[in-house]
Amino acid sequence: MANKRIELEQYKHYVDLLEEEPNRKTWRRGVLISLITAMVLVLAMLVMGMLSNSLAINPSNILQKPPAKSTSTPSQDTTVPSTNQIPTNQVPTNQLPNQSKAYNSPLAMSKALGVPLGADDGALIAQTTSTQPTVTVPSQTSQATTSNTKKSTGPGTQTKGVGNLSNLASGASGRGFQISLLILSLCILVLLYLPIRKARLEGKSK
Amino acid sequence: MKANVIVFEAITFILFIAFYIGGRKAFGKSRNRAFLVGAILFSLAIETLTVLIGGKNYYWYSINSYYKHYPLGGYIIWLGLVPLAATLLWAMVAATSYLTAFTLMPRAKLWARSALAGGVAVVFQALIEPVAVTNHWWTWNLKSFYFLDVPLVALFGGFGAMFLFTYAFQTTLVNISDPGWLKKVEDATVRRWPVKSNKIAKNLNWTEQLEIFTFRLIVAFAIFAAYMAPFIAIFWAVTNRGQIKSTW
Repeated sequence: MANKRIELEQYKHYVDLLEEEPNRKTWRRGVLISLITAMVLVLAMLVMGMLSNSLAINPSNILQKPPAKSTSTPSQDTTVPSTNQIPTNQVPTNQLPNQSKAYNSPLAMSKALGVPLGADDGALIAQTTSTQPTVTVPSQTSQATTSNTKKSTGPGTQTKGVGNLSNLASGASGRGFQISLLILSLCILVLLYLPIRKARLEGKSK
Repeated sequence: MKANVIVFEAITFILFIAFYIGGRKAFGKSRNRAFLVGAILFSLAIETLTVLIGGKNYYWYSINSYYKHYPLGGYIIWLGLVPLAATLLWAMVAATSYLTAFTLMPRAKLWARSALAGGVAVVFQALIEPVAVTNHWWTWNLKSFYFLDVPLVALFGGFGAMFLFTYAFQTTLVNISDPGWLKKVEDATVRRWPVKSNKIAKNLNWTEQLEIFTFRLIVAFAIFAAYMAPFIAIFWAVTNRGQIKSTW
């Protein structure tokens, strides 16, 4: 009796012992609720993963910079010219001539259309090669590639090989990410089913 | 429908309520509260440290126009640098891992059960992390070796954190015991104040046990930092992705 009193005295600050040491039936119910909820969590992650397949395929998505704030004011460095500052006399001259001026004379019209003077409508005319100077724009991509190779010392900011999620996502005709998530989810569901089964078997045996 | 932060947060909050009800039946009322609060605080400490050292970011997207049409920039409730939803998710994974390990191996040694709990947590992490980084729930920024855009350091960290938390919870509030090396540390520190008792942990009242649990979680956090340091150092040298530049 004295021992019992001492034991109760020890636990006087301890909350209800029946609540703190739930019986096995309550414990089993708790395990079932928790683990079934965990299964729902796994399924939710699977669905959200399936929905984001297009994002996973994009290799630059993970390190993609967020879009700039739409409410932000333009930078002070860039000055937008007002309408009266835009030069009007710098229209490119190799564009199609203004019909109202250029087609006043037949010669001008034939030059503009590339048709010899006096040729009938529908006549077959040998096209001469264009004598207009062609502007060759230097390839920016090649310059960028060379500059990148010069700078590429140490690890880059982009993952490569197995480290890159988009490599997996692009595999299996664009279903790699979804398949991997499905396999992983099934593994977890099986892993969670084992304790549920064990708890239910324990409940049935008693 | 997109798997954006709002959807993630709503699912986490709803499922956490179910976890709370289940955990209350499985652990007991007060123990369940201690488990969940302990898990939230433990994960909060780890996540905050990770954000502070620049290894992870939650707010890059949320402060920008990316989520401007959501209230409070995506995540609704923040605990400092870390959203509440992330810590709740960790607590749910912790409860699942704990219950799975202790139901499957009820008679195994404590370290083996804790290791199994850590393993279950890593499998969960392997599922959640790629979905999270794809949808920008958070962004990893560690200089590390990556697997499917998840740093391996994070997976090792997930195992270590769950192992230590399970061990601390089990030895303090379930199978109450005083490991020899820890007893000396506790006698010199927490048992002077606030516990003010040299009784063995089993004979302490609930409030004192909670104080001991808090102290042991702090010790677990220090052990976790020591455990992670070599991994971070090694992966710093062998990397396949560096840190994102500050001008990102």
